[in-house]
Amino acid sequence: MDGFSGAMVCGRLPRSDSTAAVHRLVRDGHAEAGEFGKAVGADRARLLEAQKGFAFASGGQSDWLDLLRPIAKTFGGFERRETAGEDSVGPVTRWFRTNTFYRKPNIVSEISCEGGEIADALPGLKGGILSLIGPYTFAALVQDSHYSDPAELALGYMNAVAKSLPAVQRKGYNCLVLLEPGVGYDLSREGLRESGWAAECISLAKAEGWQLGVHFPLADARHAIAVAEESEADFLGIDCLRTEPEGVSTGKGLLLGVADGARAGIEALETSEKMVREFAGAEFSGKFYVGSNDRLWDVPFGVALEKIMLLSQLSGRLG
Amino acid sequence: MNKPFVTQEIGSIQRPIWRQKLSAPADKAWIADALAWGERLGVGERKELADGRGGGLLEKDGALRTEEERARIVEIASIYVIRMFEGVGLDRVFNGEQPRTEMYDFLARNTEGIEPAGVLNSFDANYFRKGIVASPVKVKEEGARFFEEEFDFVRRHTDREVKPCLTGPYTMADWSYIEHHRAVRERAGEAPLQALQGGRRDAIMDFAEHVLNPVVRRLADAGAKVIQVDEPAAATNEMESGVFTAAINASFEGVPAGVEKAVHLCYSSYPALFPALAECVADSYLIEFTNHASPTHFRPDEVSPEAFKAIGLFKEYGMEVNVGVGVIDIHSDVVETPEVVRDRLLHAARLVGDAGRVQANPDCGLRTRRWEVAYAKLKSMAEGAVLARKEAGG
Repeated sequence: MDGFSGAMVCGRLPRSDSTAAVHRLVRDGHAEAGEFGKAVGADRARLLEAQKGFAFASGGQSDWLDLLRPIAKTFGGFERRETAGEDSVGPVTRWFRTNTFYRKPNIVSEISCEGGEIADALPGLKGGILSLIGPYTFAALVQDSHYSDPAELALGYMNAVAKSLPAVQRKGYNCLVLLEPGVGYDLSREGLRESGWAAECISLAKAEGWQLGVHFPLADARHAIAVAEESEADFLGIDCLRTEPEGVSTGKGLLLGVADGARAGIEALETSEKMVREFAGAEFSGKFYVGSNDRLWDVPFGVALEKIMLLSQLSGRLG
Repeated sequence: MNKPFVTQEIGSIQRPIWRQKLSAPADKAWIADALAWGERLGVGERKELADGRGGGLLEKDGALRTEEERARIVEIASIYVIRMFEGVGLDRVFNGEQPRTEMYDFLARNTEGIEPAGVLNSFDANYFRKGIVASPVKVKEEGARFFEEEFDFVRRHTDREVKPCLTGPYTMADWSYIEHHRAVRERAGEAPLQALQGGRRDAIMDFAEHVLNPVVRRLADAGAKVIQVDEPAAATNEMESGVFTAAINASFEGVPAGVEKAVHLCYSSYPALFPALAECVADSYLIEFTNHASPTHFRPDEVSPEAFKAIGLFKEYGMEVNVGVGVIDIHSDVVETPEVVRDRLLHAARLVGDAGRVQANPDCGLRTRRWEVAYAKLKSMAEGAVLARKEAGG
């Protein structure tokens, strides 16, 4: 199919049952912390094997306790409370409409970094894809006790992220996807907050030899993608379950989220292909990828593998 | 006037390793731990676990234990927790869910129509086993009987008020993959998104009417004077607050007046449940209040702003309900002082306007904390409630 550029999965990928078991043993003091890392490594190998032929490979970032944690634990500007334990960077808080949680960081001074912090939390991965929280969502997820407004906060965050990217690239990564679940969440409630500043923040992450995407899970993309339209992003991620193709209009490429990250059932290949072909009629740059509508963190490891295999088969048909 | 600051646990206490590993070989460290705690808590049944001559339940290779012997170990673990709750001074007790696996998983296993899907992470090193709703749901007869017998067992082993707890219909549905109800609507020609949303509503009410309500009624018939439905997922989707309320009401349908209908909510944006919640029949809401606030000093601006909002909304909508405030952070090993607990309770009493309608509990179950920590936290909570009563003149 014209313009088809391959498949990718973004967001953290789930841990296997055995890795979960090891993790609990580590938590309870019955196993060494290194055992968890080994188990995650074994999961990663299986995930990468399933992604052979993809446009970009995801290592899963499965050892990250949440998508903000490595940043909250190493960047300057984030409050860390020694009395509450090593990982207590903030209160346990629900992750949008899920049964998963994150620790809500408190920003107490200007966000800063040395530049190697994010790379230190990643394995080397040639052609790898890194997923981070996008600026709009970041401003909604953290407690801001320092900046004067969300735009300043997001700008501080993205400046630090941008400083981190060269080290990430040196580890082999060549794609960054900024996840913006907060956009879909806000759209379904009171509506989008003032977001004119988001495009400028997103553009900070654009660099030579680096594909930059912004994904809008659980959102009607006809309204969501405006947040990033004026940015230097190369492609925009669409939740195909929640979006009618006719209203999509962008000058950028698309990441068509056809695999449902909230469903245990595996989509029929024919249904997914039909969905992709319907979006071919949308107005966009012509270049597109296929992937999932949301992170695959909310399905069991085996299901995630099957959904990745579905995307692989779909690539075969489209390519 | 009700007793001010009634103290209670939310539900779960960590299952000791000797209760978890029923099939494992005998382990001297586990036995020593069981005996030490048994002595500390004054549990006479500890001698059944180890008699020093190799004849105790824990002294036997787990692989060789009979089903009856394993069941007895679980019963004794329940007695340990009952004594722990009594020992620290709680007014209401249960069994720390010792006979159960986990709040979702256990009820799912006892529900027809749910197939296992796999293990998912909720946060940090905490996981839950998620199921697929593959057909209409209905509590299994042995499941309903289990909850009744579990309640009866605790009642026979304590003179305190017994508060059984059950995972609620909204949470059961939200933590499952809803395939059946969604597929029914898809087959009827609904668009995928409409089928997803409608399927969720159908599944939530299915859980309420055919899983929760039969169990709740049996518990009430068996003599329970307070029944707690746990709904940590309650405010997941504010667009579903209406169906959440309808599901709670359906779960308590037919429960006689005089039985306290309690709902536990946590780690959520409680305002999302309003105004629908004003129509809910629940008498008590046990909510997270502390979450990461300092364990050593009290500052009103540090406790959960969501809890403040919830209490304000209860008043705004004229809901004269009891409010169980979480005065213990369950995600930290640092033990709150009794004085901090006292101050949190008195602060809540000022917000509610009636100390008799304020209850004391941890933010959520203490399952992730070691017994040493859980014991100390609950003791501090009970002592803090005593201090608060003195100050409130109760």
